[in-house]
Amino acid sequence: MIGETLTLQSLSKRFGRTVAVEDVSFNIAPGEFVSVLGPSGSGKTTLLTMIAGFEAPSSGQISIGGRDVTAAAPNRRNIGMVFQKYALFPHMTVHQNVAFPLRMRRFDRPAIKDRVRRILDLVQLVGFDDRYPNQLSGGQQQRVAVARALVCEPPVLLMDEPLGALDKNLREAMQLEIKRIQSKLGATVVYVTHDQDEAMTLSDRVAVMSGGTLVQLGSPVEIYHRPQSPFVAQFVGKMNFVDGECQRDEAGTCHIRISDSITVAASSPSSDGADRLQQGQRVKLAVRPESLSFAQPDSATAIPGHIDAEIFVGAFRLYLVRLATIGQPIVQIQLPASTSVGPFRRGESVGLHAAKEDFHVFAAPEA
Amino acid sequence: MASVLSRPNDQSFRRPGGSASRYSRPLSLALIAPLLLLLSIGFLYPIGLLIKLSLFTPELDLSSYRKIIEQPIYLSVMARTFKIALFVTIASFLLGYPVALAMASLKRRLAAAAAAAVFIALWSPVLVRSYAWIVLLQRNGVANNAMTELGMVEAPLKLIYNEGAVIVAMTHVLLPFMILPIFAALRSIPQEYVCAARTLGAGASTAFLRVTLPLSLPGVFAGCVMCFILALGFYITPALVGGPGTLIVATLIGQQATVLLDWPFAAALSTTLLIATLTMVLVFRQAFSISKGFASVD
Amino acid sequence: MLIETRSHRLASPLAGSCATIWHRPWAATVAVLLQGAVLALILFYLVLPTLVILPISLGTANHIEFPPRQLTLHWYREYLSDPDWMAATWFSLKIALATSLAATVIGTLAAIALTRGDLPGKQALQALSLGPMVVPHVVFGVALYLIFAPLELTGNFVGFLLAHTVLAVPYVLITVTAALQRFDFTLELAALSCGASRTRSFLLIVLPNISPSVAVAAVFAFLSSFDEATVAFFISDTGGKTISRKMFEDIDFNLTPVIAAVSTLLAGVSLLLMAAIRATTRQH
Ligand SMILES: Nc1ncnc2c1ncn2[C@@H]1O[C@H](COP(=O)(O)OP(=O)(O)OP(=O)(O)O)[C@@H](O)[C@H]1O
Ligand SMILES: [Mg+2]
Repeated sequence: MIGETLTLQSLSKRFGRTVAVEDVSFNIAPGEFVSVLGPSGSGKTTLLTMIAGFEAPSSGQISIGGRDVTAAAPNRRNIGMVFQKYALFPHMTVHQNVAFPLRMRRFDRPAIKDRVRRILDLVQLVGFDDRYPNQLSGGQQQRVAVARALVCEPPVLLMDEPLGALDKNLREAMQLEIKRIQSKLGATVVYVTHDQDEAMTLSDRVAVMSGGTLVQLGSPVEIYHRPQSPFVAQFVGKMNFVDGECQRDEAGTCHIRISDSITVAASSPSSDGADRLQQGQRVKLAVRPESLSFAQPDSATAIPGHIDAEIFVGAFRLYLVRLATIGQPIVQIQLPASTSVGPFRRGESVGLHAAKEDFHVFAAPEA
Repeated sequence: MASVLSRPNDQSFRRPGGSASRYSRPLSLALIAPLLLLLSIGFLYPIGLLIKLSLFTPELDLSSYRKIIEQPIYLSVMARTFKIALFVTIASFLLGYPVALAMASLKRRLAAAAAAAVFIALWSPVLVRSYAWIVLLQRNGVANNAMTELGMVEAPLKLIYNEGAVIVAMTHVLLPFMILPIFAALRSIPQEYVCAARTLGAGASTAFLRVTLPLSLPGVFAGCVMCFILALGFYITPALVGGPGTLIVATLIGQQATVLLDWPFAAALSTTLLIATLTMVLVFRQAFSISKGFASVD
Repeated sequence: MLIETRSHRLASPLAGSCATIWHRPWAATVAVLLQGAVLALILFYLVLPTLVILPISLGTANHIEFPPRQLTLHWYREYLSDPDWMAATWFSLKIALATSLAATVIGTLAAIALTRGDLPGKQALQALSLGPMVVPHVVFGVALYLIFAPLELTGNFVGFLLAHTVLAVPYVLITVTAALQRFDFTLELAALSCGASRTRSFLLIVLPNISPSVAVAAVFAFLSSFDEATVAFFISDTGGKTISRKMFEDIDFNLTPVIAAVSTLLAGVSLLLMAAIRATTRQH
């Protein structure tokens, strides 16, 4: 096990008046794989460049293995980095590229040779030693970049959208490869991506960023099933939102009224904020398409609506339903392709149903 | 150098907001210091001294400048300088545009031939080319010999040491500086534009006048500015090919400095030429960003 | 009717890829011939001066003779055995080599600072560093003479080195800056993250990638000094003159075919060096 803890303490970075990263703190355990997920411009790259030491933070602290490296030069941090466009040295062969970090650390010749051979073996590039980067395919270049970042067995490995330039199939193959190599070496990994599937597949924990701040950090399951904000809810996976308002019963439990006649009981764990909701407060009720199913339109717990469209997407069927609630939102329902419901006519009345714990409740932003 | 490069570097990481993608201030200053030293001693100081000499002898004395304005002969030198520069620019444009078109042409052999001709002209030393024009144009030179032999003229013509010769030779020297920016502009015009114009019913000449020519105008502008500015301060060619009747500012400066040894006057003329050139450069600095990389001759 | 609509695709030398379609064959032919003739004349004008000196340098007569009746290398031998010409040639070579070295080092360092450094007033510095390209050389020559004469730096190696380095530095700056701007600086960050120091990442990663352009810049600097005539005209003296100054004098006073021989050599050096540069940069 080579990994070390990586700790960020209220890290901020401003470029002039733009705040690229604001007050980000987290702690990554040795050998943990953490993905940083967020839309474009949310500060992912900036966060990574600060950890790598390419940009000094405006404030905050970075430590690796308990050692404060905030002021250390990049070459003193013992960090491996894989760049989005690989950044392989074009004038060096694969062997020279991979050997470069070892040369910089003054390993002797036999040791360099041995280590390079081992790592090229690991990334399955034996025999490519004497090729130049421009003689390699995208996937091969990517593996050279990984090999170069890992050859010194750095305790922390940073990757900035390393698969961004690859096509879908290669991308998926490389994801597995990266996961395999990482678990074999045990490095602590921070992996930037804006592909949520990639983040889910690879990570022990996912850090979701938005507008420079860390909005949620948790395991893929937590992020998916217990989003703590509407942003995370709609950014990760698909999510339907329905407006409503909180109504408390005699026992004080909060129910969500989404139209004059329909009230939904919600007890989703991520809605623990629901306890703090006040009587009559406007809320957003969120539910994933796959949590919904059809029910009798007239059943007591069903949300009534009309079929708007039915789409066959291969593995599943997608139904668009216009609800008969405030604002008449269209929601998506996703059912396995094998389910035998319908076919529906356009405009046909249906009822929707979801389990109590599949509803997420968020306080609506103040208008 | 090693220590200079490595020591200040660490500071850029300590400073909040520092960045590894930029070299730190002390290192940058250290890197540019030799250039600044060179330019201060070898460029700014001599030019500054020259300007001072034109103004102080040792008290403030504008008589040299007054001489330029008051004596008709010097005014006529100024006028001739502008006239020749203008003619050279126009001639360069007229001769240069077809060559640039040929270089940008998709017929590879034609483009290669034009490019080779421009290459040969551009990289032959200016002095060599000026000498060649003497050889070509002088009394018993190549041109006169050829014409008498062919019976076109009775006696050799006086082809050299006049304004015509200066314009012909200077145009030759400056032509590449017209051609290259126009070529760069032409090459950046997508071929589809011309084809689109043709399919929309424009004739070849209409397509040229309405599409190609307007789109190449930035290049033409850059080339003209370049040629005109270079022509204003040109020395070697007019000094060799011109005669007493074709004195322009640059050759007048040379004459005053080396023959008549009137230094304050030479300095005043130099300052005037310098100001004229710098003004043009400032006014037309846009043109230089287009033609970046093709530098001066002379 | 038929004749009217039949179109002819003729290769007009100035037409683009959309072949010119002419509806009147004779007009097409005339236009094409005319365009071709005009273009040929201009190209002839461009190359004529360079091409005319070679036959003249090989002629036997004492004056200019074209075309030469007999070919001889006499004038080249004359040049090689003339101590004045030889002294001027060595002087020029020494200056050009030293200038090339000085301008390349100074210009490359400055280009790095200007593209990647943290400098106050970068725009002004850039403008200043291109200044020697803009100032008329006659003005610069007179100004230099003014300070060199009292210091006895005319005809002096150091004086020439200073003057020519000032003139050559902008070429180096432009060439190397372009190369640095093409260089992907994440490679340098990659080197740093591989544990290389700033110095080593410069020497091992940046320099090898820009070195072709630095070499080209060095050749530019060499040629700009070797072929420089205006400033040399003012700051030479009897004790030390460059080959161009010697040529300039001889053109004015004794116009022999030796000058044609020297001219041919000078043009040959320039054209060969530039052709070599083009050939090597094309490969990359
Ligand atoms: N050097 C810089 N100077 C000024 N602003 C910057 C700089 N680098 C980043 N920014 C700004 O900081 C914010 C975050 O940028 P960053 O590159 O970290 O986003 P990102 O999450 O990596 O986005 P992407 O997914 O598009 O790569 C953006 O608004 C960006 O414009
Ligand atoms: Mg990014």
